[in-house]
Amino acid sequence: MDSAKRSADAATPSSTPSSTTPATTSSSASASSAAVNDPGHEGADNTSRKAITRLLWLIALVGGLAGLFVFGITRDPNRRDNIDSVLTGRPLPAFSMPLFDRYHENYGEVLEFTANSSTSTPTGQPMIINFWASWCGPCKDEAPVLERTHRRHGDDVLVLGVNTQDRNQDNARAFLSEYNLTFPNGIDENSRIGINYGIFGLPETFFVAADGTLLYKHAGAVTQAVIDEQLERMLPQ
Amino acid sequence: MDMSLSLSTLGTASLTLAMAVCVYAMVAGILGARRRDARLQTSARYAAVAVFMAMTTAVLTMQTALLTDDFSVQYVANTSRLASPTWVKVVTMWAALEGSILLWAWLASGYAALAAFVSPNNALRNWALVILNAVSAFFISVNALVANPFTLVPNPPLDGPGPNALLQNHWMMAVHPVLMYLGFVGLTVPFAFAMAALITKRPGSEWMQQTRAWSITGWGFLGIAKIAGGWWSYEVLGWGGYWAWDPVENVSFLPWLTATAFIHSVQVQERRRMLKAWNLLLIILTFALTILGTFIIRSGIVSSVHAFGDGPVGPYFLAFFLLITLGAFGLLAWRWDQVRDRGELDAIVSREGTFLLGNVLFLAMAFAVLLGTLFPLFVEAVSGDKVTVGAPFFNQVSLPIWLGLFALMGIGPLLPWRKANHQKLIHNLSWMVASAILAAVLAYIFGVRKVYPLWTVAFAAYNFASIALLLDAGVRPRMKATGRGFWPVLGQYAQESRRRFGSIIVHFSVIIMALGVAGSGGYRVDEQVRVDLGGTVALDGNYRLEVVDRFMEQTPARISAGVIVNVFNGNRQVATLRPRINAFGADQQPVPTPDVLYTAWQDIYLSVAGTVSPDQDFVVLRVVQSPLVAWIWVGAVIMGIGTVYCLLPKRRLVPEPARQTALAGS
Repeated sequence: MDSAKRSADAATPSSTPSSTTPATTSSSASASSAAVNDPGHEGADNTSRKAITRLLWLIALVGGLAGLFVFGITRDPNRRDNIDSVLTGRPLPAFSMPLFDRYHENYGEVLEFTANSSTSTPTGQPMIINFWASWCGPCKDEAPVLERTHRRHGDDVLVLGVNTQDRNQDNARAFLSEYNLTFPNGIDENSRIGINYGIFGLPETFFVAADGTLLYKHAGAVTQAVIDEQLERMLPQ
Repeated sequence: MDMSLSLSTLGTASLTLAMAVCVYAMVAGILGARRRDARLQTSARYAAVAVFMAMTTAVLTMQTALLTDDFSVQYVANTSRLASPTWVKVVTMWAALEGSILLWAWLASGYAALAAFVSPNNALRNWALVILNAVSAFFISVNALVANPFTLVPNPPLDGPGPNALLQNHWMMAVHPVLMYLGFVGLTVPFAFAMAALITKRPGSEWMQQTRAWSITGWGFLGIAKIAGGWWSYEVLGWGGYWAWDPVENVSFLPWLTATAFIHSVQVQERRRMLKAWNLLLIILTFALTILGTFIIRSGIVSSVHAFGDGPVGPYFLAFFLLITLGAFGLLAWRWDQVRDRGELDAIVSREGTFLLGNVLFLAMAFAVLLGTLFPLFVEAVSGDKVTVGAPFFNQVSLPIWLGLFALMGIGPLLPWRKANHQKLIHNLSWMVASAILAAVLAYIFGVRKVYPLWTVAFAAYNFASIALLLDAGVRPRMKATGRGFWPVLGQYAQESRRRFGSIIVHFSVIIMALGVAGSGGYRVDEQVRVDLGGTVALDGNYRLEVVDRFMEQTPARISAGVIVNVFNGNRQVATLRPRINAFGADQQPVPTPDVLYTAWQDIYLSVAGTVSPDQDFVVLRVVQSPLVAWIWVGAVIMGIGTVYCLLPKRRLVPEPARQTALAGS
């Protein structure tokens, strides 16, 4: 038999120093610890010192990797995805966006944003532009936070919702009703605004100074803490 | 309370039982080995089978829950949906984390059970089973402790959201994960025997000869799985590419690289009794990288376009990875003096010399890819800055290494072991280099002007010449000796040297795929066009598109809107393509389904970009023309054939009539 012949000649190359430990030849079952505690011959001290050095190197290497990975899993996942927008500090692209019916009475049918004009943002106030879709889970988490911000600071800050990449407007309307969002929300037709703003996931939120330049872009659901921090920068004390 | 046996209870019970028996199998195996108690060892082997049976029950329970839409089972409620077709329900088992782990654990326990009964009875088997059971125990415990798919939902919903739309979109998603896990699990077996060899201090060649078939099978599945994933990406994602150097792709590429190095370097140990420690190192590295990859993917520590999310299993996999690296590499470090080579390389220009160089290149590539993947994390940890490492880095590093590998792949198999005859080497090399130059000049004349595609064409010709020389060297002496013709002798040669012939087939497929990558990577044309209905677009090379109409389609599971496009080559209509956009269920983002005209020389790939609606008399299409991309998929099939050919059992050397006489006589 082929395999029998092979394993027979495979057993011979114990040519090498495995024969220093007598246990090897007799037993397959010698426990690893036996060899560790009882190296046997002279020169063994030296050998085991070398082995310990090798183990220390290994532990240092694995420890370094472990440190890196522990850092990786313990950091805030929002921070991971928050890569600075290239638009930070620059005027944001202009857009004109049709609003959902429910906002027509208070805000008109179409909202115009032309960052380059002297009046900058539509109301001359700082803005929070939030990109969302009805199918997006984190968008549901942040909707109440945005609504609360609008109710508290609506006189000083324009909160604006941009519904993008939604399959149909009925879902979007249901979302608006469910969270009873009173700040203006509009439709990003053909995802034009989203593309111009360079969004790569939903939700994303843009904090805009009164002169129409981008202060900060946040990826992932915004929290009250993030909004408070940005409001401090946006509003004159 | 309802006292009838629910699927949730049955599933959890099976997992718990599997876990308990698996721990028993480990303990019995260790005690059996230490006390040299044959009865305990046998008991451990039967326990491995019992684990597999308990896991099979768990898998069947999950399948029953999915197929009967039992939304009281958490996993079904989270990932399945009434309207899904039956095949989607079946494969939904591995569409999300908990179910994937269940599949992995099931396959791992299956391989352990198989190894318990097909491995020859020797000193290694017992410890190898302990390791295999330990690995199974880890995966089962992930299911049993942190990601139980069978958790009971107290108030079951009436319907679920269904699996991720991208996964419902193509049948390949049913196959790709299974192939991947078969690869990972297959390579666990040589790892387990390597550990057994270290534990029992028998670091000779026994462990790796016993696991040769497992290694090649695992390696084969892993390679095919990677390409299957690339094909899925090509068919589904709509950007017309198949590989993007995304972290998720990179980390599953790493074990393939080290496994490829491993299946080459074990041959050096087999023939020359060298590289013992190196082979142990490679197989441990392969297994460790498998677990590291799973950790990186499932913990979401590196930003990736693949949405696997931040699962609860991240820390758990990290702990397992650290345990493996410390335990396995630690044992190797401790035993180093016993496994270190005493022999030395006779000459670098020899078969083993090229294998060793190839190994160095494979490892260099693995290191570079790992470094590039983890670099952003490292920078952030040190300085807090955000950086991204993209395709340009990976291409720049890996393309020269690939060229080096192609150079070695051509010359290595032609060299003898130990030391090459220089005259013969120069004779062979001159044929190969002449072919390379000729091919490169021809390619240049026909318009290939980019550096890497030119090099690839040159190395392809060099390797084809090498294969011709190899076959010539195998066939010509036999023709002389027997006086028979070329084809019968080639057939006989192929049957007698299955490993050699199989490796020639695999190397041939690698060249085919390299040409496909060079063509599609170097000469892809990607454009976005807006076409009115009834309008036409002219493409590169005599092709023309005519947008005929829009269409809508509805099945219980999806609603699709698409475009009907006729493709013309000259004045001849060659195909009608129907790229579309699909919506699966209410809560999911719509996904495109591109449509592709596959041809030998270039693919025409259409994907709907933007919306298709009744009140709009134009469509926006993404048109990608990729030369030679089909060669990659064909190459993968050839690679699979070559791998299987390597594994086919040797034909009996006694000819059939002689055997029958012998039998009749006895």
